Amino acid sequence: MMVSKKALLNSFKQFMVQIYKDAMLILLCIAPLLAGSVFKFGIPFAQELIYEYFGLTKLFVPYYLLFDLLLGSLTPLLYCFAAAYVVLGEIDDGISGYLSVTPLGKRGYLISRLGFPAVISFVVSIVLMMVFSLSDFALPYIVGIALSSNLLGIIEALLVVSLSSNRVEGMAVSKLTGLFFLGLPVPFFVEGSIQYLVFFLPSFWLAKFAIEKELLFLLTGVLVSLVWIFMLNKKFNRKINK
Amino acid sequence: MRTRLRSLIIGDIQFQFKYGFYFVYTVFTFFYICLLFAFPATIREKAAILMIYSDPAAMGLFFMGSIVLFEKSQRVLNSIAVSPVKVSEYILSKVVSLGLIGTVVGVLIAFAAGNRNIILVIIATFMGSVIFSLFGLMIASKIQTLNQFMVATIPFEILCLVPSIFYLFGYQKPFMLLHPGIIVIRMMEGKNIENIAFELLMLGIWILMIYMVTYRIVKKMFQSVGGVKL
Repeated sequence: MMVSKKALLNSFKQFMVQIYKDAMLILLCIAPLLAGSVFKFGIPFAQELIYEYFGLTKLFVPYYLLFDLLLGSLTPLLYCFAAAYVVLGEIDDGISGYLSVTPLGKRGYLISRLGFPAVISFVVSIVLMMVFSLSDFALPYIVGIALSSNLLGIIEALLVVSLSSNRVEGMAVSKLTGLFFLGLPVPFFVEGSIQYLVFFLPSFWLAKFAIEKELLFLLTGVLVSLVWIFMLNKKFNRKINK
Repeated sequence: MRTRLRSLIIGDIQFQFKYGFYFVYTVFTFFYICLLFAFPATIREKAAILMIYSDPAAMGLFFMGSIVLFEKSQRVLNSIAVSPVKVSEYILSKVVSLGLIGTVVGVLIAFAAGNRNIILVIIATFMGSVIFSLFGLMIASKIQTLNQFMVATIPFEILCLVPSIFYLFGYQKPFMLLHPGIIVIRMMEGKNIENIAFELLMLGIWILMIYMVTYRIVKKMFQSVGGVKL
Protein backbone atom coordinates (compact mmCIF):
# COMPACT_ATOMS: atom_id res chain seq x y z
CA MET A 1 0.00 0.00 0.00
CA MET A 2 1.32 3.43 -0.95
CA VAL A 3 1.64 5.92 1.85
CA SER A 4 0.45 9.44 1.04
CA LYS A 5 3.20 12.02 0.78
CA LYS A 6 1.22 14.44 2.94
CA ALA A 7 0.87 11.92 5.79
CA LEU A 8 4.59 11.14 5.65
CA LEU A 9 5.60 14.79 5.70
CA ASN A 10 3.19 15.59 8.54
CA SER A 11 4.54 12.71 10.59
CA PHE A 12 8.13 13.76 9.90
CA LYS A 13 7.28 17.35 10.85
CA GLN A 14 5.88 16.06 14.14
CA PHE A 15 9.12 14.14 14.71
CA MET A 16 11.23 17.22 13.97
CA VAL A 17 9.18 19.35 16.37
CA GLN A 18 9.74 16.77 19.09
CA ILE A 19 13.51 16.59 18.69
CA TYR A 20 13.64 20.38 18.41
CA LYS A 21 11.84 20.66 21.75
CA ASP A 22 14.23 18.12 23.27
CA ALA A 23 17.22 20.24 22.16
CA MET A 24 18.36 17.11 20.35
CA LEU A 25 18.19 18.94 17.01
CA ILE A 26 20.94 21.34 18.06
CA LEU A 27 23.06 18.42 19.20
CA LEU A 28 22.51 16.63 15.88
CA CYS A 29 23.76 19.74 14.07
CA ILE A 30 26.77 20.45 16.28
CA ALA A 31 28.02 16.98 17.28
CA PRO A 32 29.08 15.78 13.79
CA LEU A 33 31.04 19.01 13.26
CA LEU A 34 32.73 18.72 16.64
CA ALA A 35 33.55 15.06 16.08
CA GLY A 36 34.85 15.84 12.58
CA SER A 37 37.17 18.54 13.95
CA VAL A 38 38.44 16.22 16.70
CA PHE A 39 39.17 13.48 14.15
CA LYS A 40 40.75 15.80 11.59
CA PHE A 41 42.96 17.82 13.93
CA GLY A 42 43.02 15.89 17.22
CA ILE A 43 44.30 12.57 15.91
CA PRO A 44 47.31 13.95 13.98
CA PHE A 45 48.05 16.13 17.03
CA ALA A 46 47.90 13.09 19.35
CA GLN A 47 50.18 11.29 16.88
CA GLU A 48 52.72 14.13 17.18
CA LEU A 49 52.53 14.05 20.99
CA ILE A 50 53.07 10.30 21.06
CA TYR A 51 56.09 10.74 18.80
CA GLU A 52 57.46 13.51 21.00
CA TYR A 53 57.04 11.68 24.33
CA PHE A 54 57.40 8.00 23.41
CA GLY A 55 59.30 8.18 20.12
CA LEU A 56 56.66 6.04 18.43
CA THR A 57 56.32 7.09 14.81
CA LYS A 58 53.18 6.50 12.82
CA LEU A 59 51.35 4.70 15.64
CA PHE A 60 47.97 5.91 14.37
CA VAL A 61 48.79 6.37 10.68
CA PRO A 62 47.88 2.79 9.57
CA TYR A 63 44.54 3.28 11.30
CA TYR A 64 43.57 6.64 9.77
CA LEU A 65 41.16 4.73 7.55
CA LEU A 66 39.58 3.13 10.63
CA PHE A 67 39.15 6.59 12.18
CA ASP A 68 37.50 7.75 8.95
CA LEU A 69 35.08 4.85 9.12
CA LEU A 70 34.27 5.72 12.72
CA LEU A 71 33.66 9.31 11.63
CA GLY A 72 31.45 8.12 8.76
CA SER A 73 29.43 5.85 11.08
CA LEU A 74 29.03 8.38 13.86
CA THR A 75 26.44 10.63 12.17
CA PRO A 76 24.04 7.80 11.17
CA LEU A 77 24.43 6.30 14.64
CA LEU A 78 23.60 9.61 16.32
CA TYR A 79 20.64 10.40 14.03
CA CYS A 80 19.19 6.89 14.11
CA PHE A 81 19.50 6.60 17.89
CA ALA A 82 17.77 9.96 18.36
CA ALA A 83 14.98 8.62 16.14
CA ALA A 84 14.89 5.29 17.98
CA TYR A 85 14.53 7.04 21.35
CA VAL A 86 11.56 9.01 20.00
CA VAL A 87 9.94 5.77 18.77
CA LEU A 88 10.64 4.07 22.13
CA GLY A 89 8.83 6.87 23.96
CA GLU A 90 5.94 6.69 21.50
CA ILE A 91 5.65 2.92 21.95
CA ASP A 92 5.61 3.29 25.75
CA ASP A 93 2.97 6.01 25.54
CA GLY A 94 0.91 3.96 23.05
CA ILE A 95 1.21 6.58 20.29
CA SER A 96 2.89 4.25 17.75
CA GLY A 97 -0.09 1.90 17.73
CA TYR A 98 -2.48 4.78 17.07
CA LEU A 99 -0.32 6.32 14.32
CA SER A 100 -0.01 2.98 12.53
CA VAL A 101 -3.79 2.74 12.05
CA THR A 102 -4.01 6.24 10.54
CA PRO A 103 -3.44 6.77 6.77
CA LEU A 104 0.27 6.83 7.68
CA GLY A 105 0.30 3.07 8.34
CA LYS A 106 3.09 1.05 9.94
CA ARG A 107 5.38 1.45 6.99
CA GLY A 108 4.81 5.18 6.78
CA TYR A 109 5.40 5.49 10.49
CA LEU A 110 8.77 3.76 10.24
CA ILE A 111 9.76 5.71 7.11
CA SER A 112 8.94 9.04 8.76
CA ARG A 113 10.72 8.12 11.99
CA LEU A 114 13.76 6.15 10.79
CA GLY A 115 13.90 6.53 6.99
CA PHE A 116 13.91 10.33 6.76
CA PRO A 117 16.56 10.83 9.47
CA ALA A 118 18.68 8.18 7.69
CA VAL A 119 18.40 10.08 4.39
CA ILE A 120 19.46 13.32 6.10
CA SER A 121 22.35 11.61 7.89
CA PHE A 122 23.42 10.06 4.56
CA VAL A 123 23.91 13.56 3.12
CA VAL A 124 25.54 14.85 6.33
CA SER A 125 28.00 11.94 6.50
CA ILE A 126 29.03 12.48 2.85
CA VAL A 127 29.75 16.17 3.51
CA LEU A 128 31.47 15.35 6.79
CA MET A 129 33.76 12.78 5.21
CA MET A 130 34.59 15.11 2.30
CA VAL A 131 35.66 17.83 4.73
CA PHE A 132 37.14 15.95 7.68
CA SER A 133 38.43 12.54 6.54
CA LEU A 134 42.09 11.78 7.15
CA SER A 135 42.46 9.63 4.03
CA ASP A 136 42.02 10.73 0.43
CA PHE A 137 38.78 9.22 -0.82
CA ALA A 138 37.21 9.66 -4.23
CA LEU A 139 33.56 10.73 -4.03
CA PRO A 140 32.12 7.34 -5.15
CA TYR A 141 33.88 5.61 -2.22
CA ILE A 142 32.61 8.22 0.21
CA VAL A 143 29.07 7.64 -1.11
CA GLY A 144 29.55 3.86 -0.71
CA ILE A 145 30.80 4.25 2.86
CA ALA A 146 27.97 6.67 3.73
CA LEU A 147 25.40 4.27 2.25
CA SER A 148 26.71 1.28 4.23
CA SER A 149 27.04 3.20 7.47
CA ASN A 150 23.50 4.57 7.14
CA LEU A 151 22.10 1.10 6.61
CA LEU A 152 24.02 0.13 9.74
CA GLY A 153 22.40 3.06 11.59
CA ILE A 154 18.93 1.92 10.49
CA ILE A 155 19.70 -1.62 11.70
CA GLU A 156 20.82 -0.32 15.10
CA ALA A 157 17.66 1.76 15.47
CA LEU A 158 15.46 -1.15 14.36
CA LEU A 159 17.22 -3.46 16.84
CA VAL A 160 16.42 -1.02 19.65
CA VAL A 161 12.76 -0.51 18.74
CA SER A 162 11.92 -4.06 17.76
CA LEU A 163 13.76 -6.11 20.40
CA SER A 164 12.72 -4.08 23.42
CA SER A 165 9.37 -3.96 25.12
CA ASN A 166 9.86 -0.55 26.72
CA ARG A 167 12.27 2.36 27.22
CA VAL A 168 14.37 0.60 29.85
CA GLU A 169 14.89 -2.51 27.77
CA GLY A 170 15.49 -0.19 24.79
CA MET A 171 18.42 1.42 26.57
CA ALA A 172 19.84 -2.00 27.46
CA VAL A 173 19.51 -3.11 23.82
CA SER A 174 21.03 0.15 22.57
CA LYS A 175 24.06 -0.56 24.73
CA LEU A 176 24.35 -4.04 23.26
CA THR A 177 24.05 -2.76 19.69
CA GLY A 178 27.42 -1.09 20.18
CA LEU A 179 28.84 -4.56 19.65
CA PHE A 180 27.57 -4.35 16.05
CA PHE A 181 30.48 -2.03 15.35
CA LEU A 182 32.98 -4.72 16.25
CA GLY A 183 33.09 -5.70 12.59
CA LEU A 184 34.89 -2.42 11.78
CA PRO A 185 38.30 -3.22 13.32
CA VAL A 186 38.28 -6.90 12.29
CA PRO A 187 39.80 -6.51 8.78
CA PHE A 188 42.45 -4.18 10.27
CA PHE A 189 43.60 -6.54 13.02
CA VAL A 190 42.62 -10.09 11.99
CA GLU A 191 44.46 -11.62 9.06
CA GLY A 192 43.39 -14.52 6.86
CA SER A 193 40.04 -16.07 6.16
CA ILE A 194 39.19 -16.38 9.87
CA GLN A 195 38.02 -12.74 9.68
CA TYR A 196 35.00 -13.92 7.67
CA LEU A 197 33.58 -15.45 10.86
CA VAL A 198 31.92 -12.06 11.44
CA PHE A 199 30.32 -12.06 7.96
CA PHE A 200 26.91 -11.38 9.54
CA LEU A 201 28.06 -7.95 10.76
CA PRO A 202 27.44 -5.26 8.11
CA SER A 203 30.21 -3.18 9.72
CA PHE A 204 32.74 -5.87 8.68
CA TRP A 205 31.79 -5.47 5.00
CA LEU A 206 31.93 -1.70 5.36
CA ALA A 207 35.55 -1.94 6.55
CA LYS A 208 36.40 -4.50 3.84
CA PHE A 209 35.01 -2.15 1.17
CA ALA A 210 36.97 0.81 2.55
CA ILE A 211 40.23 -1.17 2.63
CA GLU A 212 39.98 -3.14 -0.62
CA LYS A 213 37.85 -0.64 -2.57
CA GLU A 214 36.05 -3.58 -4.22
CA LEU A 215 32.44 -3.06 -5.25
CA LEU A 216 31.69 -6.69 -4.39
CA PHE A 217 32.28 -6.01 -0.68
CA LEU A 218 29.97 -2.99 -0.80
CA LEU A 219 27.23 -5.03 -2.45
CA THR A 220 27.66 -7.91 0.02
CA GLY A 221 27.43 -5.44 2.90
CA VAL A 222 24.27 -3.88 1.47
CA LEU A 223 22.76 -7.34 1.03
CA VAL A 224 23.60 -8.40 4.60
CA SER A 225 22.14 -5.10 5.87
CA LEU A 226 18.94 -5.56 3.88
CA VAL A 227 18.47 -9.05 5.35
CA TRP A 228 18.81 -7.57 8.86
CA ILE A 229 16.41 -4.72 8.01
CA PHE A 230 13.87 -7.12 6.54
CA MET A 231 13.92 -9.41 9.60
CA LEU A 232 13.79 -6.58 12.12
CA ASN A 233 11.05 -4.76 10.23
CA LYS A 234 8.95 -7.92 10.36
CA LYS A 235 9.56 -8.16 14.10
CA PHE A 236 8.67 -4.50 14.60
CA ASN A 237 5.40 -4.93 12.66
CA ARG A 238 4.46 -7.92 14.83
CA LYS A 239 5.19 -5.88 17.93
CA ILE A 240 3.03 -2.95 16.83
CA ASN A 241 0.19 -5.36 16.00
CA LYS A 242 0.11 -6.68 19.58
CA MET B 1 11.81 1.23 57.68
CA ARG B 2 14.68 -1.17 57.10
CA THR B 3 12.36 -3.82 55.69
CA ARG B 4 10.80 -1.24 53.37
CA LEU B 5 14.18 -0.11 52.05
CA ARG B 6 15.26 -3.73 51.60
CA SER B 7 12.06 -4.51 49.68
CA LEU B 8 12.60 -1.47 47.47
CA ILE B 9 16.18 -2.49 46.71
CA ILE B 10 15.15 -6.06 45.94
CA GLY B 11 12.34 -4.71 43.73
CA ASP B 12 14.78 -2.50 41.83
CA ILE B 13 17.23 -5.38 41.39
CA GLN B 14 14.45 -7.61 40.04
CA PHE B 15 13.40 -4.80 37.69
CA GLN B 16 16.97 -4.38 36.43
CA PHE B 17 17.33 -8.13 35.99
CA LYS B 18 14.02 -8.40 34.11
CA TYR B 19 14.93 -5.67 31.66
CA GLY B 20 18.32 -7.09 30.76
CA PHE B 21 20.83 -5.04 32.79
CA TYR B 22 22.47 -8.14 34.21
CA PHE B 23 22.57 -9.80 30.80
CA VAL B 24 24.06 -6.70 29.13
CA TYR B 25 26.72 -6.35 31.80
CA THR B 26 27.60 -10.05 31.68
CA VAL B 27 28.26 -9.62 27.95
CA PHE B 28 30.18 -6.38 28.47
CA THR B 29 32.28 -7.75 31.34
CA PHE B 30 33.37 -10.58 29.07
CA PHE B 31 33.99 -8.13 26.23
CA TYR B 32 35.99 -5.70 28.39
CA ILE B 33 38.14 -8.48 29.83
CA CYS B 34 38.92 -9.79 26.32
CA LEU B 35 39.68 -6.23 25.18
CA LEU B 36 42.02 -5.70 28.14
CA PHE B 37 44.28 -8.47 26.92
CA ALA B 38 44.63 -6.67 23.57
CA PHE B 39 46.39 -3.83 25.45
CA PRO B 40 50.11 -3.96 26.32
CA ALA B 41 50.57 -5.16 29.94
CA THR B 42 52.06 -1.78 30.90
CA ILE B 43 48.85 0.16 30.33
CA ARG B 44 46.39 -2.66 31.10
CA GLU B 45 45.65 -1.46 34.63
CA LYS B 46 45.06 2.13 33.50
CA ALA B 47 42.80 0.90 30.68
CA ALA B 48 40.83 -1.19 33.20
CA ILE B 49 40.36 1.82 35.49
CA LEU B 50 39.14 3.90 32.55
CA MET B 51 36.72 1.14 31.56
CA ILE B 52 35.35 0.76 35.10
CA TYR B 53 35.02 4.48 35.71
CA SER B 54 33.38 5.26 32.36
CA ASP B 55 30.99 2.33 32.15
CA PRO B 56 29.90 0.17 35.11
CA ALA B 57 30.44 3.02 37.56
CA ALA B 58 28.70 5.47 35.24
CA MET B 59 25.75 3.24 34.33
CA GLY B 60 23.37 5.30 36.48
CA LEU B 61 23.94 8.29 34.25
CA PHE B 62 23.10 6.19 31.19
CA PHE B 63 20.09 4.22 32.43
CA MET B 64 18.39 6.47 35.00
CA GLY B 65 16.47 8.49 32.41
CA SER B 66 14.78 5.43 30.95
CA ILE B 67 14.08 3.97 34.42
CA VAL B 68 12.37 7.11 35.76
CA LEU B 69 10.49 7.80 32.50
CA PHE B 70 9.26 4.21 32.47
CA GLU B 71 8.11 4.54 36.07
CA LYS B 72 6.29 7.74 35.14
CA SER B 73 4.57 6.15 32.13
CA GLN B 74 3.53 3.09 34.17
CA ARG B 75 2.23 5.33 36.99
CA VAL B 76 4.68 3.69 39.40
CA LEU B 77 5.72 7.08 40.74
CA ASN B 78 2.08 7.98 41.44
CA SER B 79 1.77 4.86 43.59
CA ILE B 80 5.08 5.42 45.36
CA ALA B 81 4.20 9.07 46.01
CA VAL B 82 1.09 8.10 48.02
CA SER B 83 2.76 5.12 49.76
CA PRO B 84 4.75 5.38 53.01
CA VAL B 85 8.00 5.19 50.96
CA LYS B 86 10.17 8.21 51.69
CA VAL B 87 12.01 10.18 49.03
CA SER B 88 15.29 9.21 50.67
CA GLU B 89 14.39 5.50 50.45
CA TYR B 90 13.46 5.83 46.78
CA ILE B 91 16.81 7.50 46.04
CA LEU B 92 18.81 5.03 48.16
CA SER B 93 17.17 2.05 46.52
CA LYS B 94 18.03 3.24 43.01
CA VAL B 95 21.57 4.18 43.97
CA VAL B 96 22.34 0.96 45.89
CA SER B 97 20.82 -1.40 43.31
CA LEU B 98 22.74 0.15 40.40
CA GLY B 99 25.87 0.46 42.53
CA LEU B 100 25.74 -3.25 43.20
CA ILE B 101 25.95 -4.32 39.53
CA GLY B 102 28.52 -1.62 38.80
CA THR B 103 30.73 -2.76 41.67
CA VAL B 104 30.58 -6.47 40.78
CA VAL B 105 31.46 -5.71 37.14
CA GLY B 106 34.19 -3.27 38.25
CA VAL B 107 35.81 -5.82 40.55
CA LEU B 108 35.84 -8.50 37.83
CA ILE B 109 37.46 -6.14 35.30
CA ALA B 110 40.01 -4.85 37.85
CA PHE B 111 40.91 -8.38 38.92
CA ALA B 112 41.38 -9.49 35.31
CA ALA B 113 43.71 -6.53 34.77
CA GLY B 114 45.90 -7.63 37.68
CA ASN B 115 44.73 -4.95 40.12
CA ARG B 116 44.92 -6.42 43.61
CA ASN B 117 43.60 -3.42 45.59
CA ILE B 118 40.23 -5.09 45.46
CA ILE B 119 38.84 -3.54 48.66
CA LEU B 120 39.72 -0.08 47.38
CA VAL B 121 38.27 -0.91 43.95
CA ILE B 122 35.00 -1.97 45.63
CA ILE B 123 34.78 1.22 47.68
CA ALA B 124 35.82 3.49 44.79
CA THR B 125 33.54 1.90 42.19
CA PHE B 126 30.56 1.95 44.54
CA MET B 127 31.10 5.58 45.57
CA GLY B 128 31.71 6.60 41.95
CA SER B 129 28.52 4.80 40.96
CA VAL B 130 26.59 6.62 43.70
CA ILE B 131 27.73 9.98 42.32
CA PHE B 132 26.82 9.11 38.72
CA SER B 133 23.44 7.64 39.76
CA LEU B 134 22.58 10.71 41.83
CA PHE B 135 23.39 12.94 38.85
CA GLY B 136 21.28 10.63 36.67
CA LEU B 137 18.35 10.82 39.08
CA MET B 138 18.68 14.57 39.33
CA ILE B 139 18.41 14.94 35.54
CA ALA B 140 15.78 12.21 35.10
CA SER B 141 13.44 13.95 37.54
CA LYS B 142 13.43 17.06 35.37
CA ILE B 143 12.92 15.62 31.88
CA GLN B 144 10.03 14.26 29.81
CA THR B 145 11.74 12.34 26.99
CA LEU B 146 14.76 10.09 26.52
CA ASN B 147 16.35 12.51 24.06
CA GLN B 148 16.07 15.32 26.61
CA PHE B 149 17.84 13.06 29.08
CA MET B 150 20.62 12.18 26.64
CA VAL B 151 21.24 15.86 25.85
CA ALA B 152 21.09 16.91 29.52
CA THR B 153 23.63 14.28 30.59
CA ILE B 154 26.33 15.58 28.22
CA PRO B 155 27.62 18.43 30.46
CA PHE B 156 27.70 16.05 33.44
CA GLU B 157 29.58 13.45 31.43
CA ILE B 158 32.11 16.04 30.30
CA LEU B 159 32.58 17.39 33.83
CA CYS B 160 32.92 13.95 35.38
CA LEU B 161 34.91 12.16 32.70
CA VAL B 162 37.24 14.63 30.96
CA PRO B 163 39.31 15.83 33.98
CA SER B 164 39.54 12.25 35.24
CA ILE B 165 40.83 10.95 31.90
CA PHE B 166 43.39 13.78 31.70
CA TYR B 167 44.54 12.94 35.22
CA LEU B 168 44.74 9.22 34.53
CA PHE B 169 46.96 9.81 31.50
CA GLY B 170 49.41 12.17 33.14
CA TYR B 171 48.01 15.72 33.31
CA GLN B 172 48.14 16.00 37.12
CA LYS B 173 47.79 19.25 39.06
CA PRO B 174 47.27 19.42 42.86
CA PHE B 175 43.94 21.32 42.60
CA MET B 176 42.54 18.41 40.55
CA LEU B 177 42.60 16.24 43.67
CA LEU B 178 39.36 17.92 44.75
CA HIS B 179 37.51 16.43 41.78
CA PRO B 180 35.41 13.44 42.95
CA GLY B 181 36.13 11.42 39.81
CA ILE B 182 39.86 11.86 40.28
CA ILE B 183 39.61 10.76 43.92
CA VAL B 184 37.77 7.63 42.71
CA ILE B 185 40.47 6.93 40.11
CA ARG B 186 43.30 7.42 42.61
CA MET B 187 41.60 5.01 44.99
CA MET B 188 41.28 2.42 42.23
CA GLU B 189 44.98 2.85 41.46
CA GLY B 190 45.77 2.26 45.13
CA LYS B 191 47.62 5.58 45.28
CA ASN B 192 47.98 7.65 48.41
CA ILE B 193 46.69 4.94 50.76
CA GLU B 194 48.07 6.83 53.78
CA ASN B 195 45.52 9.61 53.09
CA ILE B 196 42.62 7.26 52.46
CA ALA B 197 40.59 8.67 55.36
CA PHE B 198 40.85 12.17 53.87
CA GLU B 199 39.86 10.92 50.43
CA LEU B 200 36.88 9.05 51.84
CA LEU B 201 35.85 12.18 53.71
CA MET B 202 36.12 14.26 50.53
CA LEU B 203 34.04 11.76 48.58
CA GLY B 204 31.53 11.62 51.43
CA ILE B 205 31.17 15.43 51.35
CA TRP B 206 30.68 15.38 47.56
CA ILE B 207 28.07 12.63 47.80
CA LEU B 208 26.23 14.44 50.59
CA MET B 209 26.11 17.70 48.63
CA ILE B 210 24.92 16.01 45.42
CA TYR B 211 22.42 13.95 47.44
CA MET B 212 20.93 17.09 49.01
CA VAL B 213 20.33 18.67 45.59
CA THR B 214 18.96 15.40 44.19
CA TYR B 215 16.65 15.01 47.21
CA ARG B 216 15.09 18.43 46.64
CA ILE B 217 14.56 17.75 42.93
CA VAL B 218 13.13 14.24 43.42
CA LYS B 219 10.85 15.51 46.19
CA LYS B 220 9.53 18.16 43.81
CA MET B 221 8.93 15.44 41.20
CA PHE B 222 7.00 13.34 43.74
CA GLN B 223 4.87 16.34 44.62
CA SER B 224 3.95 17.02 41.02
CA VAL B 225 3.31 13.55 39.53
CA GLY B 226 0.27 13.47 37.28
CA GLY B 227 0.79 17.09 36.34
CA VAL B 228 -0.73 18.48 39.55
CA LYS B 229 1.32 20.09 42.28
CA LEU B 230 0.44 18.57 45.65
